[in-house]
Formats: sequence, structure tokens, C-alpha cells
Amino acid sequence: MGCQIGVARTRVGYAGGSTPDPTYRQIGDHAETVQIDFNPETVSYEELLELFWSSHDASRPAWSRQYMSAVFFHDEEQERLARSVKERLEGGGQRTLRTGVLPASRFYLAEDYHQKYILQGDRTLNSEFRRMYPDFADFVASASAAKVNGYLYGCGTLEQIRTQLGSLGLSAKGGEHLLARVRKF
Amino acid sequence: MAGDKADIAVLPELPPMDLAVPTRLQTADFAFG
Repeated sequence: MGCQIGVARTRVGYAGGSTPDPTYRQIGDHAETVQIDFNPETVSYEELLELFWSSHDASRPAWSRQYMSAVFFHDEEQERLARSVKERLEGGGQRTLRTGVLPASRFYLAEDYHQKYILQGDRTLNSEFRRMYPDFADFVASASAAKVNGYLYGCGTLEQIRTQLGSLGLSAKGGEHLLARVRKF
Repeated sequence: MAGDKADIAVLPELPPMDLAVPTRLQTADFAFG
């Protein structure tokens, strides 16, 4: 989701359960969840729903609640759109999406090492971001970090990355490094 | 001496993309299975 135009911030965590203060090792009845902040003037919630369902196979049963497919809606409009898009994608009963459409409850931020995971694993790019954002919370909230993390996952085109390169805050070396990594996809 | 250029911390530039994030955003939560 991070590299989607209109998505400003991403963070990973645990939601949908009742276990207090979940952790990766003691996630309880929560599901691994991505929370995003988006600009509705640039990307619609409906577009995000379509991206959500196109990027995973929601027709297969979940291994466990930790890995369930779910949309956690924040208001009635999000609920209406989620149910509507789900019904449309199910094609009048041709397939069943096992995605829960559930009210958003408390979102627990996952441990630091889960945030911008692939970006943190890239020494060159991570060191540039950590210089820009010594406070880890600021790093997690960075739109640029969300974009770069998405690019490193293979999301986005080279053209899109070249267009945005100047706004990511990277050095010339960092920009070249990012392009070199993305070219390998 | 306070005020000397050498005493002024040089802050790294923040990404223009981050400085341009609009204040009115909506939140969405997804579990990808």
C-alpha cells in the first residue's frame, strides 16, 4: 500500500482482537494489520479496497486469526463501501471472499523491527532515513519512507520512482542505490 | 560562543514529500491474511 499514490503513511500492527497489549509473540486474538493514512482527494477508499483484494487471495481459509483477511472500517461509509466492493468482487456468488468486514477497534503498533521492514534491512537507505529522522516515530510516520519501503517490495514502476525521486529526501547516492535495487525486479 | 555558526546544529533536510503531506487524511485498516 505504501507506494500507492495518495497513501501518505503506513504502519503495521495488531487489531481486531480483545487481548490487551499484543506483541508478535503473544498476539492473542488479534490479526496482523496495516493501518494507512490516505488523502481522499487523491485516492478513494474504494480504490484502496480494490487494491487490498487484488493483492492477496482472500478466497482461501486463513491459517489462524493472526492471518485472517479483514477490512476494519472506521465509519458507516467505509463499511458500506467495503460490503459493496466485496459483493461485487464475489460476482454474484461465483466466488467467496473470506474477508471479515469488521468495525475498527484499537490498533496496537507492532514492534519497531516490523515497521518499514524491508527498508530497515537496506543499510544504505535506512541510514539516510535515520539521519533524517532520529526519532523512530517520525521515521514510521514518514510518507517518503512508506514509498521507498513499497518500492523495495517491488511495487511501483521505474518511471514512477524516477518522477518522485527528487521528493524522497535521498542523497544522489541513495537515489541511485534505490533505482539499482528496483531495476532488479 | 553561543550564536557562532559552529554552534548551530545542522539539521538534515526533510523529504519534500513529507513536508507536503496534507493535514486532512483518512485512516483505513486492512489485514491481508
